This record gives sequence, C-alpha cells and structure tokens, in this order.
Amino acid sequence: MSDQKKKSLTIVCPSCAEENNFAQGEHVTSRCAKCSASFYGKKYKHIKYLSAGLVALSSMLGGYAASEIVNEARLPALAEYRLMNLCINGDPRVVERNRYLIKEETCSCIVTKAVEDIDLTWSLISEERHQKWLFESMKEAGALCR
Amino acid sequence: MSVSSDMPPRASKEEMDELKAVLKSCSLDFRPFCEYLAEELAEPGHEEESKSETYRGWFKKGRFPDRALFEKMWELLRQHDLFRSSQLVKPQYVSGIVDKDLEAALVALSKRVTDHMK
Repeated sequence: MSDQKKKSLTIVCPSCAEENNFAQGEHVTSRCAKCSASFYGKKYKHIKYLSAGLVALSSMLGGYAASEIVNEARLPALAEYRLMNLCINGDPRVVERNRYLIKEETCSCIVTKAVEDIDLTWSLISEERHQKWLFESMKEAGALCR
Repeated sequence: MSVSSDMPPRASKEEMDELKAVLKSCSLDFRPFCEYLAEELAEPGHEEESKSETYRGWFKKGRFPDRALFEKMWELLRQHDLFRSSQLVKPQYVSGIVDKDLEAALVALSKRVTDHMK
C-alpha cells in the first residue's frame, strides 16, 4: 500500500458507490460529495482482500471467480466446499456414522486452521515452495485438530 | 509378459473384503446381493438370463468385478434399507475436479484423519 493511501481515508458511498477521499487531518464530511447521501446509519468495516496464498489455493480447487475474491479473507464457498469434501470423503473406506460426524468436525478445524495459516504466512514462503507448502500447511493443521 | 492395458480397472481385494463385511453386518448374503444386482442391471424381461449368465460367479472367492460394476454394487447397497439403518457411512466424492496433486495430498490427509480416529 502506498504512503499516500496509508494517510488517507476512503468512504465508498453506499448509495451511489462514489469514492469519497479524505486526506489525513482533513475534515471528514458526513455526506457523499456526489449524491449528498448521509454516511450515518451505516457500519463501516475494513475490507480485507484475499491473500495470494488463498487465491492460489482457490485456483487449484477450481472454485473461484475473479469477482469473488475482492472482499473476503476466506475461500470462496465452492473452493471451501471442495476442500472440506475431500478431507471428509477423500478416504472411501466405510466408517461408523458417529466417527463420520467427528471427522466432519476435525476437517472443519483443519480447513479453518490451514486457511488462516496460508492467509497469514504466504508471503514468507518462496514461490517455488508454495505448492508443497500448501500441502504441508494442511498436514500441520491436521495434527493440531486431533 | 506384459499385462494388457485394455483390461478395465478392477476392485481390489481390500475393497471387496470391505463390501462383503458391510453386507455381512447388514445381514445380507453376497450371492443373493449379486443376483439382486444382476436383476437391477438387466434389460427389462431379461432378469433371469442376467442372473444366470452375465453376473454368474461374482460371488465366488477371488473374483473381482470391474470398477464400474463395483461402484454399481455400492450404489445399490447405499439405497438398501438395511444399510441405511446400519449406522455405517460409505464416503463418496467425485474425483478429477481439483488440481491432481492437491487431490492426492488431500486424499492422503483424509486417510490419516480416518486412521487416527480408529
């Protein structure tokens, strides 16, 4: 992020989508400069972009579209479903129903932890190790969820 | 001498042993189950012929069905009332959708999770 961006505040108008930019120290108006709609009565939250690691994982799972990756720090629903489905059902051996339910919970824990790990530490890993590390990340999460 | 690659892939001994064990736990005999399968797969009006010829011997020891037939066996068993009330689950997923290496890694992970629960 550029220094200029770090020192400014941008409010995207909920009514007309106009970007209202305010420099640091500048008075922040309560109305949109374009349509005059009030900014009050809404809750504003920082938008966290999907990390490069999660974009890469989503691509491998084939479950994302460019439009889906802009404003959530979690995998798109289809990618997450495929990850869970493989963790739960990848082993085709018959299991008792109560164990299957425990496995669902374990896999939910593994996916949650692995996605957090990938999101937080992706930039620390060299590019050529990314794919191997994705798998390692899942494996390590597996050990933490037992 | 090389094995012909034209042979369709077959179910393994472990897979057949698992199927037979599940049938047994559901109080179902393998032979009648194979006949039931033959009836289900037969062209209308050819059920008896199918039972006596097409699938003859699948219940014999050491005979392993090709993968398509094996999948059909499980499909039929999954729908059976005795299996549905058995408290057993046969996991199922469609392969070949996600990245090949990632799929292999996740299948291995899935097996490790199952093994750890046993």
